Amino acid sequence: MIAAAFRVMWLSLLRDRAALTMAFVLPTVIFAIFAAIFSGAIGDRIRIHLGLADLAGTATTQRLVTALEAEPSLRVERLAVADEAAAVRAVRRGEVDVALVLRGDLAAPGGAETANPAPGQPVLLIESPSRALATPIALGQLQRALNDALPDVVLSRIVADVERSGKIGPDERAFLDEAFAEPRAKKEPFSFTRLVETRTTASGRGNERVSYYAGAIAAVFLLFAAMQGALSLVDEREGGLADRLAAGPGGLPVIVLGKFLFLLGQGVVQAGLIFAAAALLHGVDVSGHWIGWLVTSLLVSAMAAGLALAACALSATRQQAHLAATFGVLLLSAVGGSMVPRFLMPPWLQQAGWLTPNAWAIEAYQTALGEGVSAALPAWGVLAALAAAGLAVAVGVVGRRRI
Amino acid sequence: MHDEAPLLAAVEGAAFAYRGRPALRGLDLTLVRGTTLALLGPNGAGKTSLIRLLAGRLAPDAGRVRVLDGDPFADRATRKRIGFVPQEIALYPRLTVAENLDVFARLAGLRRAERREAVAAAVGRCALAEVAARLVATLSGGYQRRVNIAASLLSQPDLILLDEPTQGVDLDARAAIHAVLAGLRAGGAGLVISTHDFSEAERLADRVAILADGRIRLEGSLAALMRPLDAAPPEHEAVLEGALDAAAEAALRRSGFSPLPGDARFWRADHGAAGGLDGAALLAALRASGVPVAEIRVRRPGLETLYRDGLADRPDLESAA
Repeated sequence: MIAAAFRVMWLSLLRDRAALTMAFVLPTVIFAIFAAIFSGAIGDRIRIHLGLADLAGTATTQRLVTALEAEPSLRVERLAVADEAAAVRAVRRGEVDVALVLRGDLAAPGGAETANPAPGQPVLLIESPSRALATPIALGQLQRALNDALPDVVLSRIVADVERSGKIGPDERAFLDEAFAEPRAKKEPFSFTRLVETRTTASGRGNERVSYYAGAIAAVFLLFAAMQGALSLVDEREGGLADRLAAGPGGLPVIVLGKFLFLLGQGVVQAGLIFAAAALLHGVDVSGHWIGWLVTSLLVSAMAAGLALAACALSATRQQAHLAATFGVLLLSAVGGSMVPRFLMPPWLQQAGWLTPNAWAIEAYQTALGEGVSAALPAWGVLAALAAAGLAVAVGVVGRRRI
Repeated sequence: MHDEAPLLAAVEGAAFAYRGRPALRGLDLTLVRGTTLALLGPNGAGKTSLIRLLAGRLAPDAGRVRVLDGDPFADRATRKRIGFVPQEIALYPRLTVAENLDVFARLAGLRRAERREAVAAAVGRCALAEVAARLVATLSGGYQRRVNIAASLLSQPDLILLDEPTQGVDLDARAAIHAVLAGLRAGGAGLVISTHDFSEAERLADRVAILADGRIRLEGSLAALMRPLDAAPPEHEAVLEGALDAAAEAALRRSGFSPLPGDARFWRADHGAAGGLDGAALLAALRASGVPVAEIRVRRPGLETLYRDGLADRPDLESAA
């Protein structure tokens, strides 16, 4: 009897080309787009468009311009502007994401020694509120360029500060400047530029940043597809089929179990297609962790199927179920990190994310593929519990529903 | 009289309420093998609730329902012996006729060989061979209704419950469905048909039950119920085309007409009460009296008369054996 319900779902899907496309093609396409967008946006390949106007034209500003232009994470465009106002206009018009106006010599405190002294600091950053994320990135890259390419200038400004405090005299300052010039001439790095060592949690066998999005998109689409499939429960009720099915020897619980199994299988195939695309297009390593991937995919599919069937069983009308399918899944996906990584969210929203199935699905994929089966056990447990609870609610509700 | 035949179903004092709203209020009914019972009554009378009780879809809040000596709500084996044809086209539109029947045979718990046999038999009984390979969504309403019936025959039920089986179909399709139902009846199955169509009930039923407000107002064999009407004169029905003022209503009542329950446009009088006038003369007389009458229908009293009387609380007609 369960096989009969499975067969109905399979044949109905097979004969609905639009539904078939939605179920198996769209997730892969959406994943490819999301992966392209977000793997750059949160990774080391982000390239903001930086406008650069060197109004000072000194040796140090030219060195900074050269250093910034050599920075691979920036797309630098020299702004042919005569003043700061023109640079502001360029940012406002969206010609660049953010602009740096070099308006004074970097080595001279206050810029007073330049030919065209400008008020304030030697570097002016012009930002746009619509591209606020570009500001901290530009500042970070500017600091990095100063440390890496102009450490002598940085130290010289520090020494100048000390000199102003009266602790050292002009002779000592000249001595220190000479000392700083020596390693610069030999192109030896200053020790403070090597204070930081970077270490990654990535195993290095594949593109783990993209694997995050494969898991995130799989969670969204499995929920969407499961809701679409589970809507048949409402259609059967409203179309009178439920009356016939309920009057049969197995009753409606058998139908719910058949649908659950079908949605489980459909979800694993969908996840398989998404991760296949991730492996082919972005080098995500799935084959090395296939057991973890399979268990995770089974549990995420079961979670999606269980929750979708419960939502549809509880919905009194198709409209209610449709609202749950669209707004409910969108809300869970947004809060759960399927659209934007949760670390970019406010702390309270990050915590709230753990109340969504998406967050646990992503966690399960991340840990199963990145750290191994034992690390994935807590997330697997949560997914299994959600699946069981959803299925129990669906079976219980359809078994008791009178109309 | 029908008590001598083996009992197929018995409803004793059954009451049922949907969320506190009573649908059946202590209802008694019996059905024997090989008979067809027509359930008549206005919308909301309790016909569908009664059919759902018999199908085991609902359990009574009070009273008892037995089908083939089992409880259809609790016993899976009992439900297997009941065929249920819902009011809606309860089929999968993207599956073919044969696939639909196969699915319902699987859900009835039939094994592969039994399934093949049952599907072939249902296709044959409902004359569906020529459309067996077509998707249900592409069939006409009449064919869909026949598939709807065929799907209830797969486990060779002893009792078949049909909730308005000819709703929304044309005359030819209706005749085809009637032929199918006549075949089922001839095959020995007991049929319970809920319908608004009096001619359908007169044509198919052995027994009739008229329901209103969750109670049986009139129940008995069709022959016994109709017998007093054999010698009755034709009746007149006045169809009004406008509102009645007090003078017009008084004129209508003086002519022997009384309002039919459920629709204020229809008034009825038997031939004697109408003063022995023929239809044309009666129409002219009523119009002359200021009654806004559009037409006068003259007809032999039948099940519709009993139905109207049943709803009008005629205790003299109740429970004719």
